[in-house]
Amino acid sequence: MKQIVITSGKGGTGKTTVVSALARIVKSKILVDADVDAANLEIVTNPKLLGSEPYSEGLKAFIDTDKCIKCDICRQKCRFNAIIINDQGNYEVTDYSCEGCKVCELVCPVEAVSLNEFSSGLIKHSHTPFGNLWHGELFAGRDNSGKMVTHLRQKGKDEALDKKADWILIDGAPGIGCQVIASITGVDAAIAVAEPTLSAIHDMRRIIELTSNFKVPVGIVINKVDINPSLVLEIKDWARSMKLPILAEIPIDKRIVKFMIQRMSPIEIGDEFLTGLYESIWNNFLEIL
Amino acid sequence: MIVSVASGKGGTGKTTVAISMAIAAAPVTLIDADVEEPNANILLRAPKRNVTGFSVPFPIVDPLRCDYCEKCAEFCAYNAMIVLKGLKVFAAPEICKSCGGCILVCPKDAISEKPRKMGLINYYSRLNVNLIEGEINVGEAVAKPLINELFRRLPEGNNIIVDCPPGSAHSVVESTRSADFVVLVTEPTPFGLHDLIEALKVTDSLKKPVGIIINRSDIGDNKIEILSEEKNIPILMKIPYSSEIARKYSQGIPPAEFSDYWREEFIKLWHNIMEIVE
Ligand code: SF4
Ligand code: SF4
Repeated sequence: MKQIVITSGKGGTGKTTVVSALARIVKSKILVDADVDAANLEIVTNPKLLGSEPYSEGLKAFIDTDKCIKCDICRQKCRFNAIIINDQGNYEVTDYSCEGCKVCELVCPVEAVSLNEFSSGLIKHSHTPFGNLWHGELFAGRDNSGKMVTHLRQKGKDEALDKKADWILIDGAPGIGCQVIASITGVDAAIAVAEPTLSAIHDMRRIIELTSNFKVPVGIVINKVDINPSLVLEIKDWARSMKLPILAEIPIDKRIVKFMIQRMSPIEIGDEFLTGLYESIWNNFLEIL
Repeated sequence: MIVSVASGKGGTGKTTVAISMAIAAAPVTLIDADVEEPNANILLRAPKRNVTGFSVPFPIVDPLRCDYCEKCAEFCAYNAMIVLKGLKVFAAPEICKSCGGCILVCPKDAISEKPRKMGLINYYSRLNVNLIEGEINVGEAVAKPLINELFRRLPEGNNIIVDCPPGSAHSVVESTRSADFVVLVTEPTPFGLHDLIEALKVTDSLKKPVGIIINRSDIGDNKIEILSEEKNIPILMKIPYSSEIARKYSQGIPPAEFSDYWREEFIKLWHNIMEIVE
């Protein structure tokens, strides 16, 4: 069983569209949507929910106003400025900012502070025609610390081992922070989806710096090549210098969005050429593995 | 006035809008709070005026005082303190959140703090736009302290535009918290709609006035319009798909710079937002 992450650095390059196509091409797999902050894979895989469970990611502080003597020590010691004096003049923890570090509990002279589990989202398990999907829903404004991603991946891995699936396909998150590190750690290989724009190239370089820190082999898909053919050449030159294979070059095709609106992938368009391009992503990728 | 430009989904054109609005509203300060992937200067193409390192306090354990009692490791809520009995006690840099707790619990006073560099703050300026950009180092996991630092450096009295990180997680809360108005950039696709709904939950909970910009407004369906009507949120602008805008964007040139029409539109947009805020 091998774990593959599809990633991009910059959002909107077509990462989830690539995953949705691969979901139809690759046999024997489990899907994991690691972009819990904008979980979009469910939109194009027709999932039927099998089960969901609340997910809690650590603790949040709570101040008991009856016990609080307003000494102000917790407010001074909280490095995250999470403790405020509210309109009623009481000490209060703003739960968006609280990191659950417990320092306030430690310093409070009258034990007015307690820490409680805080629900930060849902873990969902769904059946799809393309294999089962583990996806999360991070409640808006909650910390995307990567723990939820790690949790989802573990669930996916357990199921893949159980079902003897050959692959786990992970739809990664944009950026390079904890959520991305969590989706890259321990994978066997990565597919980076780039587009020929200066921003996307900049972001791809940062993500590939990260994957090489983790010694993860990477192949590149250049999406929307018609935006700027000369930047396509630049990506290719750079990839050659980094010894990274180009897996496919995909043109802009208005039908892709039209089909996405009907919750379908580019494969359902039924265009041989387009389907062939997505198949070549996978075939070329198998070679680098 | 502080206007934050956010988008639930990445790649909808948030930075294009933020820069175009900045050019139209100049003189203005633009904050690039997308510190994981700061792209604003790719579109502003301004020379760097200044750069400062950004550090967080990081615990260092004095081996001469430490007697391996493990109290620090027991306390640390993130399991960042690692104790190798009799050998070494140290904090893992990517995991530590600099809460300072281990220092408070150590009975031997063995822990002190040293600054640890985790990113840069870059200053650029062109076309009367002063850009302050945060950039975390590759491999750093936690972006929040740097985002907060950018907001501590806001110049007084200026108009400020913030290019937020994508998504609807906590970093977006940090970068919209002080805003007078939030512009949400989206696209008319199921992905765009889904992520817009998530972003609206953040702005609702912060009770911020919002407006929507639909980018590539003619590529998809009309569900965004329906939502905006239902929720009574103004659609401030629609930008149809244009291969010219896409190509210029790919080279780092925003619409307000190459097109008089779009510069006018963004000036109108800015005045429109000012009116709403007042
Ligand atoms: S737990 Fe830590 S972050 Fe939360 S309020 Fe207390 S001191 Fe602040
Ligand atoms: S400063 Fe806080 S987060 Fe860092 S090691 Fe000490 S207790 Fe853990």
